[in-house]
Amino acid sequence: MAERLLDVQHLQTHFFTRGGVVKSVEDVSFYIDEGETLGLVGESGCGKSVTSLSLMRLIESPPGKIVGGKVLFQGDDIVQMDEEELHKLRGGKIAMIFQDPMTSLNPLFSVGFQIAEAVKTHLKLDDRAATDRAVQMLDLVRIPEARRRIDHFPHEFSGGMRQRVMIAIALSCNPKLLIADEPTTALDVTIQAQVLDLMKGLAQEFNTATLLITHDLGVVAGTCERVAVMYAGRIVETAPTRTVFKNPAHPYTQALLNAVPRADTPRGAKLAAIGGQPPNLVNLPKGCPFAPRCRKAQARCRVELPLLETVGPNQQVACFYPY
Amino acid sequence: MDQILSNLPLLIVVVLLVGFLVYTGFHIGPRFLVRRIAGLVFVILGVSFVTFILGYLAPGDVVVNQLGVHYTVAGARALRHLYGLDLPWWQQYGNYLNQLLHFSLGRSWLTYSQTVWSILSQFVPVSATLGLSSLVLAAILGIPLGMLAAVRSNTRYDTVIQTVALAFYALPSFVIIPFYALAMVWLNYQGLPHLQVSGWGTWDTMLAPIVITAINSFAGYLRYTRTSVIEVLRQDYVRTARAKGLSERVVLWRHVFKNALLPLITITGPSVGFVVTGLFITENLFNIPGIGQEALNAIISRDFPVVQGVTILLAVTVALMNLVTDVTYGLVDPRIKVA
Amino acid sequence: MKIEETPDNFQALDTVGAVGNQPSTPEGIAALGGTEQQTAGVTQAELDRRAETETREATTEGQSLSPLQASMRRLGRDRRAMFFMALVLILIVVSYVGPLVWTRVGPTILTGAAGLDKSGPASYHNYVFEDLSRQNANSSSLHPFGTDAIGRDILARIMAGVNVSIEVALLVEIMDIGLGVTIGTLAGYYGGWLATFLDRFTDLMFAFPGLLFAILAAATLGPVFQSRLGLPGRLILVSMALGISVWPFMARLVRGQTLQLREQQFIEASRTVGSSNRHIIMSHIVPNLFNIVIVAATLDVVNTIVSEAVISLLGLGVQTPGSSLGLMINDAAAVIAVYPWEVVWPTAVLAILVLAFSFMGDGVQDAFNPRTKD
Ligand SMILES: Nc1ncnc2c1ncn2[C@@H]1O[C@H](COP(=O)(O)OP(=O)(O)OP(=O)(O)O)[C@@H](O)[C@H]1O
Ligand SMILES: [Mg+2]
Repeated sequence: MAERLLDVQHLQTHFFTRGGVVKSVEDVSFYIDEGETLGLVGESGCGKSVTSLSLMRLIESPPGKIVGGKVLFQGDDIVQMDEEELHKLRGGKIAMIFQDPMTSLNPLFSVGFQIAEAVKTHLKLDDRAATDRAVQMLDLVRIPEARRRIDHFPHEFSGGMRQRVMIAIALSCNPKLLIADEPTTALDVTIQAQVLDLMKGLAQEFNTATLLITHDLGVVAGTCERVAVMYAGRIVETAPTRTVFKNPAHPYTQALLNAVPRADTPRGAKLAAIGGQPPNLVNLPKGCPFAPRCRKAQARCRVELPLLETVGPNQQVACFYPY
Repeated sequence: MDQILSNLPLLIVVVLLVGFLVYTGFHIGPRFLVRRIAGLVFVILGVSFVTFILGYLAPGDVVVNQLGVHYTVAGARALRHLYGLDLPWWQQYGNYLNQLLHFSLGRSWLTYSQTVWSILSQFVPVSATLGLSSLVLAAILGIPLGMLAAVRSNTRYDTVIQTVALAFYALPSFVIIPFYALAMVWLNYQGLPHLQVSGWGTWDTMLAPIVITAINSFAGYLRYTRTSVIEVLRQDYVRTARAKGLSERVVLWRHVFKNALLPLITITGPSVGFVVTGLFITENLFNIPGIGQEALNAIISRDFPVVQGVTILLAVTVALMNLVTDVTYGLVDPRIKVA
Repeated sequence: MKIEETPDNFQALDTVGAVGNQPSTPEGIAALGGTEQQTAGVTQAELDRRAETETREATTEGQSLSPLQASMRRLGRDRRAMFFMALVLILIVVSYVGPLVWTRVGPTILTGAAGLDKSGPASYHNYVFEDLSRQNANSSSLHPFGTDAIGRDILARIMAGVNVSIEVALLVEIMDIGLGVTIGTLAGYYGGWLATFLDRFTDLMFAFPGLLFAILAAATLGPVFQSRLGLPGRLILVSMALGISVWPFMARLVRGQTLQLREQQFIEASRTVGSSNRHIIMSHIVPNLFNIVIVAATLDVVNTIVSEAVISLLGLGVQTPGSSLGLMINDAAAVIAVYPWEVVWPTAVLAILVLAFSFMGDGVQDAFNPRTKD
């Protein structure tokens, strides 16, 4: 088996708060190959952002801490890296785009400076070359008049443009992996598609693998090759996108799909909501965390925790009674 | 006006200030500047009116007090006329404003040969030295320590800094001064080297008042910096900066510090007010011939032109500092640049 | 610019139609979050934030409490704050109950310049009683804190001085909260000339340090108040002057909060149901000001106590034979090298008083945590 670009094994990230230990990420395993796009989906609060920040070791500590597992990047374990290695990794080999472009850029520095800053750190370019690179990147993310706009400040750009600036920063150092945490959620709908297309196109051009985190299975369908579905800090199903849509194995994946409006959903038809609440991450129930909301739950589900098992070609699911 | 022109340091300050305001005025927008200067005029009117009314309502007759045993009806009438006290109140105040328009603060009642300007220019340098040194001292110690506390927030280290800072912030200088004085008396008694407990002019008299006046503002800067830095540290763009692979040092000094500085700029105005009131205490207890001391003497001897002069001077200083800080804010923050 | 997520936008996108780029619809979000609440017009980010704070609250507090209960509980858990709150209470109780006890404790002794007058504790433990045979006396069982230059019991004078501090603080707080909340709320709710007035007035007070104003007022009007109202006249004057100089800051704080509240949905809802402005202010706005006002007021107490002491220290506040911590320091400052206790005791008590109030205020601030400090 060829070496994976990123191989996450049994990652656990907990937050030690006064109210107890929040087990935001509890046994997460997945991999990404070079140039591949993996979608990570799941409802709000299931630990997607914490997972992605853990990959970069950007968890705020205290209260957060990676308490177990490995994150192998090109064979090296990120969890064990020291500060210096991390500085080279962050922005250089793995880059990240965040959800809210309105707050992700420093308001006091020009966008050109903020792009050039990353370039200077990792590519060791001088000021002029870094500025040229910044202009080139702004051009690539299709910001008109890039040469002039690099001196502008974030507040002079719209939300969509700022997210494109973020993409420019992220890709400026040719990273091997791009982590995009809900990159379009905060944008208004007409802009979302544009930004996604741009990101996907550029990632292909740069041969950058992408971890795309989203709420939205619709986005996944159009963008990702494989999907990992997360629930209450665990991966409950991972499979190629096509399989997930045609033949979802986990009841939670099925419920998610039923909640998404499709082109063939009649207008005005009711979407099936998933009843109940996601579990409290401090006191997880014994057994399958989804069991309390699961229509197919049996007695066994409430006492025993199902682990990921292969059920089809490239398809793994953590469920005793799949399909 | 000619008093300003003849005083070189003052002239330099005025020219620098005007230059700065004009420069930034174009930068930020003339409308902003016009509005703020109108505000300044309003403040001068308000402060002088309040002071005037308080003086006007004050019981006792200045003229009678001043003449003492030399009191004669004719003499009193002449003096009253000289001071303009024989006019109705609105004319008195009108005359005063008229003087202000000509950049004159009138003459002292106590020593009529001296203009209020010349009295103030005697005392202002002392207070300015004391006030500015302590403000600078407070800032250069308080800001870095505040950052340190913020970066180490929620550690034992931070708790200690926080507690000490709160105590320093709350304790007024007149609570500290007696203990300082006792310590010096004791050192003196033991024949050990010590600092002076009163006076002004040499380093061993100046050190203690400067440090003690600085204590409150120091703690203020520290606490404020800490809050501000902690607030900035949780901003998304700091995470972005870290995700770029910048070293923690660059993240702190470039991305965090500059943003955290913004609110700090805004407290510099009010902290001038803080220091000014602190001067009243320090100068009084250390017997320093500054503006606070002089104001107090003038208040007690009812030398109202001098009292007026001091309040207007202080108010204008504080208001100007506020204006300068607001304008500086506009320079640092690109979002403020309005057409 | 942000387009509101209205159903129309989604319909437009439905017709674009490819499964590939479906937006997260409000229904979709509600379905994913398992909540049925009306979410149109709320941004995704906002929704996330709410969900997050909800889960955090729930996980850290165990069960849901009203905000006030939660704050009180946090305050109760803060040991430092509770300690200093207890200290404040003790100081207040001792300063008021203490004199009643103190004037009953002690033998009958001979006092007066010639040492011939018979006096009981009711006299020589009274804070105005001058025992000219025991001037500048050091600590003894009769006078544990010693006596001052004219033979008055320092302990008794300190208790009387603390009373003054507390009373001035109380008067100033009444003005501060009364004027600040009334004018702040009205200016925030109605805006208009009242808001302009408030702005101008605060500008003025910013430039005219409150303490300077109070000093000036105390110096010029002090004699008038004293001749009309007797000794407490000065105290009332000082309180009024300090009150006038603090309320604008409270009002500005309150106005900011009111402006925020006014924009909130429950008030909008109340308005559409046809509630009167008066009703909205009294039942929706004022109760929500509690946190911010309690914090500001606690912190203002510190300033007030210090300011009163300064004014008395400068000889412009409470006059002898009345007592005030500032006045005691002033009286004895000149002889500090000879009779240090005369300065040390009142200074120490003032320091404790100020520190206790500040640490308590700090705890209150943490507990009620309105992160909307001006
Ligand atoms: N600093 C923190 N302290 C305590 N708990 C935290 C902290 N950060 C995150 N959590 C908890 O971790 C859990 C997972 O959060 P995370 O942000 O990863 O969710 P998410 O899947 O990204 O959700 P969303 O779709 O809303 O972004 C949440 O329950 C959250 O409350
Ligand atoms: Mg997230």
